[in-house]
Amino acid sequence: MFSRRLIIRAAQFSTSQSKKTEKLWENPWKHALHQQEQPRTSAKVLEVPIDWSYVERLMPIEIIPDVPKHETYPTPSGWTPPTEAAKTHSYYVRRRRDHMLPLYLERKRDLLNEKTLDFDYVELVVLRNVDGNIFDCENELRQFVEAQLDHPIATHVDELKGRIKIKGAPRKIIEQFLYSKGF
Amino acid sequence: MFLSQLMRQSGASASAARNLWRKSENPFISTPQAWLTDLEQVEEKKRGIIDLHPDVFRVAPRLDILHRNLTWQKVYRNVQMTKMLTKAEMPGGGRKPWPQKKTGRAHVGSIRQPEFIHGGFANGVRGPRTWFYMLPDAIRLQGLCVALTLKHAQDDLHIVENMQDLQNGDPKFWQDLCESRNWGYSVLMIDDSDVISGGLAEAQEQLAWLNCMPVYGLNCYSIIKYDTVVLSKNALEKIEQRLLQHLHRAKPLNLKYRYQDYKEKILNESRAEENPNMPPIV
Repeated sequence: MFSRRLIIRAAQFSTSQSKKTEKLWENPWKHALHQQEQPRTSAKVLEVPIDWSYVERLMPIEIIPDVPKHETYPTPSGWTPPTEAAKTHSYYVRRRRDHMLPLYLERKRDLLNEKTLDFDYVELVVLRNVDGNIFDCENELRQFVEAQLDHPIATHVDELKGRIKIKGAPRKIIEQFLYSKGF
Repeated sequence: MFLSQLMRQSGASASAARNLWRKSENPFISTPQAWLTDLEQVEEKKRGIIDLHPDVFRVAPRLDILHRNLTWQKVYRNVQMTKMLTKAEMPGGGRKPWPQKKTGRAHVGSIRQPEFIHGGFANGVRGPRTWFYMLPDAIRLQGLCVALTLKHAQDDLHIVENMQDLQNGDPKFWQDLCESRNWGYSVLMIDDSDVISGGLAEAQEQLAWLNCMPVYGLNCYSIIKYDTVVLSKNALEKIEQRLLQHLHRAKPLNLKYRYQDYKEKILNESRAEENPNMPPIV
């Protein structure tokens, strides 16, 4: 074995010596093709039947899956799927792609507080993905929230984007409103 | 109802029914539809009606988002290569031209100072400067949907059965075809395959206003640039599938695109490319 390897090395050495006369740029194709050639090994392929299901469930999820059926709603986390009642209103609020309500929190700078010389911030809740008559939605939302809170709230409607911004109401109550309407 | 009546009158055969994946149950959004035609003859023959996915072809016309996309596409590849030299980079000027005092002249240390003619620049343009940035995925996705929606709403989006291996490659035929169908000044054909053969390939080589594009080349700028966008049926399926897949993907839509993550991929892009006219990279 040792001797054979020696011979091979010697042979390679000798070829490289003889090739030295030919420059690299005279025939670049030859050089490139030589590099691309892989040492070919022929092995027999034997396929073993493996149950990949345990591996597959470890793979990352590409697309958000549908929600599995639960026995009772709301689920322990408080989540409820949209119901048929949602389609009876003059507006419709579409769920997010992850099946949650399209409620977002926003923090906006208010006036400078002259006593502490710090900026005050207001907490806004943004309701998105509203289709249909968005002003009806805003009216009903306002009535629902004000009945619960006993103080007026401020809202801003962006019809083109289908968004309602609410100031002065916690997210929880708006969530209750949406669930009560079946969205 | 109205469309189905029309379809019966025109003798269309294919049905509109199409399985729209994860279609919203929103009662305020009707399913958009489009005529299915072909490119075999000059006159427009209606072969049927196709349902389009409302999440792609019936979204709110957010022109602000479309504008962001168009601006991004125009700007992100700009590179300013101008570099104005400072006094240190100009040749010469190492010697003090005259003594500091008692000459009555300005106190200067070099003939390349910015006050001099042929001097260096004090606050010049210092290139290369790039305007590259990436828009968030959500904005790019919505931009495509908005552009397609607008084209469909303005009746500038047409769907044909097939674009490959068409019989007629005569430029006159294609001009007549686009004129009789009122397709405007420029037409963009989009197919799912990136190799196109047959009559359309011959014609689009001769006609500057007729262009073809694969699905992966679809972008807001081209959709808006061309008067009419023509999709093949396969392209429509593919576009919907790709866009919906991203709209429902489990990964976040605000992924970061950092150069260091893509460096290896970008630098190795040309590894598989082999041009018979160019010597290979050794």
